[in-house]
Parts: sequence; structure tokens; C-alpha cells
Amino acid sequence: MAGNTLKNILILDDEKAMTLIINKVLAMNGYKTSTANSPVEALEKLHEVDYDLLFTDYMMPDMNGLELCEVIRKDENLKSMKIIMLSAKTMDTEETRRLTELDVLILRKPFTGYQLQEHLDKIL
Amino acid sequence: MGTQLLQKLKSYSWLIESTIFFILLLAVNIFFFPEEKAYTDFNINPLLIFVIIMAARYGIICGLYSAALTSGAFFLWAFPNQRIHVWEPSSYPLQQSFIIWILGIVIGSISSRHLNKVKSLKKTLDENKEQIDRLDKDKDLLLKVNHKLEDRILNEVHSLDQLYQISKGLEGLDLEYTYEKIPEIVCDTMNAEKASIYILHDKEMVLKENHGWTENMANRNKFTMDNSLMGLAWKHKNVQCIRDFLTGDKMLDSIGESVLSAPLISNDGSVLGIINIETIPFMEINRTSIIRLRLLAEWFSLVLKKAYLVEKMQEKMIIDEKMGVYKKTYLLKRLKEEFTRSRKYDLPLSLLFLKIDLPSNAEKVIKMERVITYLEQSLSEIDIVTHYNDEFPLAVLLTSTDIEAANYRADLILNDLCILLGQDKTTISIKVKAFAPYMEQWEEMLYSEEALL
Repeated sequence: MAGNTLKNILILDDEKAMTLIINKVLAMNGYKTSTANSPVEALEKLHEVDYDLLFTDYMMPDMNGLELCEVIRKDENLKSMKIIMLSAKTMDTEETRRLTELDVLILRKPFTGYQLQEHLDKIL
Repeated sequence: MGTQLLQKLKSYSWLIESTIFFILLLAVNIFFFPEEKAYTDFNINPLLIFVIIMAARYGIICGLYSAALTSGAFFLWAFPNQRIHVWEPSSYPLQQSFIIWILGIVIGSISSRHLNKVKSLKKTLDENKEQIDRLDKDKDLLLKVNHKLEDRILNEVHSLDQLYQISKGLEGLDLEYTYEKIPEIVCDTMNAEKASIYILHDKEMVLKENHGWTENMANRNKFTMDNSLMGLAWKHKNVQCIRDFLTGDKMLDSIGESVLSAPLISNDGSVLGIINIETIPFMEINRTSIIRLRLLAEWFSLVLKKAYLVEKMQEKMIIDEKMGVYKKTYLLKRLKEEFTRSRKYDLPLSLLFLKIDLPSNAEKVIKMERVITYLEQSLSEIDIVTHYNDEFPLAVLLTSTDIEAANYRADLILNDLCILLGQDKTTISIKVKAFAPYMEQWEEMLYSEEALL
């Protein structure tokens, strides 16, 4: 995992316990991580620091994951950001199409550490 | 800084006003009455009026100030211009100055007294207003506190009443109602947003009900004894909390499905099921919550155990004594329940209809007993064998079994029964019907056009 030490990941979930557990898994695999508990906080951090990847939840109170991805893709400075979306919800066809268009990888909750690593290898 | 300066200037506004007024008067004097320096020849001197106005408006200090300005104008301007000297007897400027000073002092004093009185009254009024405001604020605060207390009492009463009503419902020992209400009670009493109940079926925990999930969201439908939080609660027979896994080297198999998990333990120490909390505010993940969940799990375990006993008793009452299997009514009841669950959680469900033509009545009874014994031994505990109708004397309800697995089971049963009964004059066929998402009524499971095996 030596190559991972350079990768900087932002984890966004409105459930603090979830961000902390993903943070732990990624840190154990040698990634540099930060957490955010709201899309606004995440956008601020994305503008402040140069991240390689954003892990975001789908279901959030103020702005859902899809809306956040649309905002990111419209932003000149963030549009090339790699995104993995975590979701406990079964996406309908329209949602899946829009996420594919936005070049977002979906990871279904619950997931294993292996599935998480597989998605990271695929996107990074 | 700017505000402070402005306030300071405001408190000296009389000074600014007097000075400006005075300069204006002098300017008018210079431009319009150049021959009458300091208005010396006017009967009613405008500067006198100026002193009266300023003294009346702002009191003694302003009166003295404007009198000083006016006298200054007389002495510095009018005297030299008229070539009059202070020490020479010239009645008019001296009279004017004297009158100006007297008026400034007298009118200023009267005005000052009046102004002080007004000021004092205003101060009292302001103090009273402030007190009224403070009292109003206190009143609002008291009303808010009172309202909150009322709400809290009403909520507590409502929650207690709700809990009492639910516990009364649970006393009815209806298994389906119990499964449905347990996650709901967990959410209500623990401030959780999502909770589920899993029940042990044949070495697997199967999702029975959840609360707080929307239609297109769900946790795992079933799981084995893995190293997920639920698996660990099952394995260690105690409440497991996500906080214990946020630090240290311990890692979970499954991430993102549980925050708190508690096992439902029977009197004999065996695990009946799992209560899982999927979403709860982070502040609520504490020691108190763990204790509360353990107590709830103990209560639910007792209720479930009783409900199981009641169901077993009911099962005994619904057994077809002639055949020694459940009656059709029991099949229909269970099918309806399992169909609803399959539709809700997209769980597989299958039905086998066994058609057995046996040669003679005497042999029929013995062979049918053999078939039933075989079925009961070969099937898992959660599957049920029942009497169905004359065409299909037996039906088997296979929970958590999809069409492929059901066909495979049907093949196995068919082969085994052929060996068991012998093929002479015996015809056995099995009709398979499986739950499909397009089905809307549970009765559709009964009327099938599936090919006979």
C-alpha cells in the first residue's frame, strides 16, 4: 500500500459514526483522510485542499449525493474530482444514468473492506 | 470608533448649532447690512433673538455661550467699526451686551430647569420602559419554559401511553405483530431513526421487519455468523457498539449497516434473533444506550419466547389428525404472512404441491405416513408441510427459497420418494410455484400453471 500514502481522500456522511469507521478503514490501508459531515463543509474543504477522491453518502438532509456531484462537476476547479458514492438505497434507472453521466462510482451499503479496496483500485 | 465620535458630537449638538447659527447671522449681517456692524442700530437686535432662542432651547450653558459670542461680536466688531471704546460712555453696545447676558442667564436658567425636569422624567420613563421590556422578556421566557415543560410532559405521557399500548399489544402474543412492533419500539425509546429485527432460521439470521427504512432501502436480508456488528452480537451474545471499532485494530466484516446490535437470547441461552440499530444520532451512541438496548432485548426475548409457545400451541390445534400434518387453513395463514414479507423485502418464497397417486386405500395410509415422515425429516425447521386438497394431498411452504432452489428440492424429493415408495402403481408429481415480484395477491401463489415435473 506504499502508493496509497500520496492519495488524499475526503469522506462525507451525515452520520458521524459512518465517517469515522470509513476513515479508520482507509487510514489502515495507508490513505490520507479527512472527514466532513455536511455537503457544505465538504465543498469548503474541497476548495481548500487538493483531494484525490471524494467518498460521499447519497442520503443527506440538506443536499443529496447526486445534487452534490452535479455541483462538483459544474465547478471549474473540482470537475475532475474522482467520486465514490455510498448508498443504502436501491437507485432507480434515472438516478443510475445520471450518476454514470457524472462519472460517479456507486458502492452499495453495507460493504466489506475488500469491496471498498476494489472500488478504490478501480478509480484511483 | 466612528460611532463613539458621532455620539460625542450628538451630546454637543447645541454647541455646533449655536456656532453655526451665530456665523450665519454674522454672514447675513456682513453681506446684507454692511453698515450696521453687529446690527448695532436695530431696535430688536437679531443677535438678541439668537441668544433668546438658544437659551430657551438648550438652557443656561447654551445661553451663556451664545451671550458670550454675541458680546464678543459687539466688542470686537461693532466697537472698533463705530470707533467706540469700552472705556468711553456709549450707552447702546453696553446696554445691548448687558441685556444679552441677562437674557441668556435668565431664560437659560428657566429653560435648564425645565429641561432637567424633562430629562429626569424621560429617564424615569426609559427606566420604566426597560423594566417593562425585562418583565416582558422574563414573561416570554417563562411561557416558553412552561410550553416546553407541557410538551415534554405530554410527550412523556404520550410515549408512556404508547409504550403501554404496545406492551399490551405484545401481550396478545401475535408473532407477526411482535416482529412489526419491536423495531418501532426500539426507534421510539432510543431516539433511533432506523432499526431492524432478524430471527434465526436454519443457521441464518433472516430479516423479519424494519422501521424507518423507505421502500427502496434495506439492510442485508440475511446473514450468517460473520464478523459484522450483528454477527459479533450473535457470536458473543452481548450488545455490540460501533464505538468499540472506531479505534484500535479490530475491524468489521460489513461496514455501514449497524451502529448498535443486541442479541435476543432465550432462557436456555440460545440466540433467537438480533435487534439492529442502523441509524442513531452520534451523541446517542453511549453507555446508557447500550444498557437500554440490552434491557429492551431482554424484554423482547421473553415476549418472543412466549409468542413462539403460543404459536406452537396454535399449530397443535391446527394439525390435521388424520394425516398428522398442518391443516390447509394454517398453510393459507402462513402463506399470506410470508407473501407480504417477500413483497416488502424482496425475499424468495416457494410452494411445492405434491400429487401422490397410491394404488390402494390400505397402502395409501402407510405410504402417506412414510412420505410425511420423510418430508418432515428432510426439510428445515422453518419450512412447513401441510394438507392441501384432494388433487394435491400435500403442500410444502419453503421460506427463503427461490425458484431454482425449489426446483432442485422438488427433484430431490421426487427421486427420494420414488425410491421410498417404489414406482409400481405409484404416480408422484410435484408442482412448483415461486414468488415473483409482479405478484400482487398472495392467492396467486396457489393457482399456478407451472409444468408438472
